[in-house]
Amino acid sequence: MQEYILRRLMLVVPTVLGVTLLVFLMMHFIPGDPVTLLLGNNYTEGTAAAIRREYGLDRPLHVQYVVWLEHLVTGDWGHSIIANRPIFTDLMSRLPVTFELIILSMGFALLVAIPAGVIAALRPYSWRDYAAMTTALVGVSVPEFFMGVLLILCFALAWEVLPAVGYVSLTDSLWGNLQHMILPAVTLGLARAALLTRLIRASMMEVIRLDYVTTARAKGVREWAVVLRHALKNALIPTVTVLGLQVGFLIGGAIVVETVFSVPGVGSFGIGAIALRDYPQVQAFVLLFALGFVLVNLVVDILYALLDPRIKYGRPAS
Amino acid sequence: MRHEASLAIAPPDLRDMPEAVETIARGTWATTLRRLRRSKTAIVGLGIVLLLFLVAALADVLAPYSPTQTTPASLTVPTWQHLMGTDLLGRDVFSRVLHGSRVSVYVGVVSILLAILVGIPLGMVAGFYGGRTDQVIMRLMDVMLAFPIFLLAIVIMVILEPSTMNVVLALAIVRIPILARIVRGSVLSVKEHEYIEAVEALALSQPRILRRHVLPNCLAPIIVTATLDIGNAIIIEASLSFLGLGTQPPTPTWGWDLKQNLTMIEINPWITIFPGLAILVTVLAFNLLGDGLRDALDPRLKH
Repeated sequence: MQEYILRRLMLVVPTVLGVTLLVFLMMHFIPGDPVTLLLGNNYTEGTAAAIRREYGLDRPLHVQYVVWLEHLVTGDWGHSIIANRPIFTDLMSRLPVTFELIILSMGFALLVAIPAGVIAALRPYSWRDYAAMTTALVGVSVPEFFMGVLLILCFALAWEVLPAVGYVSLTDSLWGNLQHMILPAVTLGLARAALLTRLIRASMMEVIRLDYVTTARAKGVREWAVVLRHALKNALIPTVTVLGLQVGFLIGGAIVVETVFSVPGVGSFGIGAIALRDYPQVQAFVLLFALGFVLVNLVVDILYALLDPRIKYGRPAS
Repeated sequence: MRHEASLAIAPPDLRDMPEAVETIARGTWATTLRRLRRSKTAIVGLGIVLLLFLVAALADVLAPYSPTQTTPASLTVPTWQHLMGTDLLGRDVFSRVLHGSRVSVYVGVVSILLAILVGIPLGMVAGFYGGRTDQVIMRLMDVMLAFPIFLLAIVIMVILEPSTMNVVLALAIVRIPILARIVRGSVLSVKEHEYIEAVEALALSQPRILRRHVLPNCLAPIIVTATLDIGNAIIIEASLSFLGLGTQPPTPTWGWDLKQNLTMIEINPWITIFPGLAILVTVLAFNLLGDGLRDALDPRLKH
């Protein structure tokens, strides 16, 4: 297993390099001269030439890339051209918000999907099964922003139990924070819950047929223990493999959900930057989310290695 | 000249091998179609999809008003004159929803077709030739897959100016890595089979091997993935439009219309609901169809 983990860790290096390269090139693919983009409305010939020399934009592309990487590593992620503030501090202040949103969404998704999937699998083709599967199918067909709108209509406008927009930080008020985060988290998590329900049901149905489950029952193990301790544990392994991908969808969805609910996270930061054509900010936003995704996939892969006994105990010598 | 007839009469000539494989393959297609016809989910999905194509094609005829015609009757609730109400500028929402189907259908279908057109050859070349080519292609695909799909689509739309055609391009680009991977996987599994060695020993040309033997093998997962991907593409297109990064106004598109009408949600919630419902029904249809296709083509059910 150590070998697997080591190999997986080594794979991160070229991936991160590839991601940073792509994000770096993105800035240079945008139509227009990067200096014009940097200066925005303050463009003059003299300033442009000075900026070019100062930022090293007159040097070859691969040199610029290395310099840019050096800046990244030291925490200099550029300056916003609109607000003339260091981007890194802005991003770091917004990161906890998005992080909380993603954690809450994933938690909600699992809280719904695991029981629903298991119940559907235990009584396949019953009304419970069909109800769960139909709901799940509709759930994956709803775009996040529409789901958010529907929830706002229901809970914020019609019944007025929850706030529609805004954010209260955890340090200010736990209850206030949760109140403002419930609708965004549910919106973001529902599509994932739908997909995971289908997956867990399919996986559970396969596992429950296997011999070792019959053996456990024959040994007299009680049904709930058979289901939870023996079947579910192994049925969840395929779920772990797609967990990384699901978080990827959560990251993408967070961008839309933060916009709908005016949550001050990294996603709404990025959309604001795009609208204002503040390209250094856009670049930093893309980089942060992309690197976050790489990190999540790494963690998930290692988690999978720890869970799957076939990898944990290594393959038997053939 | 060498056809199934000769197969029935005489023991198969080794030179008939490709045709023999094809006959077996054709038999599988017949079973698939039969199973598809029995699947209720697939039928419903197909029905709605065909209805959608019809609406998109006949939007001009079916819409009672022009989608861009402004009137003073702004923000009305659904009435017999305006079945879905009117938006802030007095435009008939029903007509806009009908016309909006054009963008969604066009973007959804064309982007996936484009992705298939590029992804299949890419995957085939990588899987079949292996070695350096495989490494280079797959590394590129891996880097693209290291980005969340929606994020990648946003990045592409920031680089390219927002327009319907560019959305098609962006959605095609983000789909190619997964398709290439699927095809490459199929190619690798087919390569394992011994009959490929036999066919190669018969000195058939490589393009012919790719076309006749490898391609039919990966067609099934491609068809299922492509159908489900169309639904996904429509959701992404709607999300991009919602963020202002997609088709530009005044062209009606479900995502942007929902966004516009969202600001008026306290006055008139109906006009945000209908574009959203349109997206929901459309994507649901493609998902039903895709699910039905997957069940029909699932080799595990073939016993």
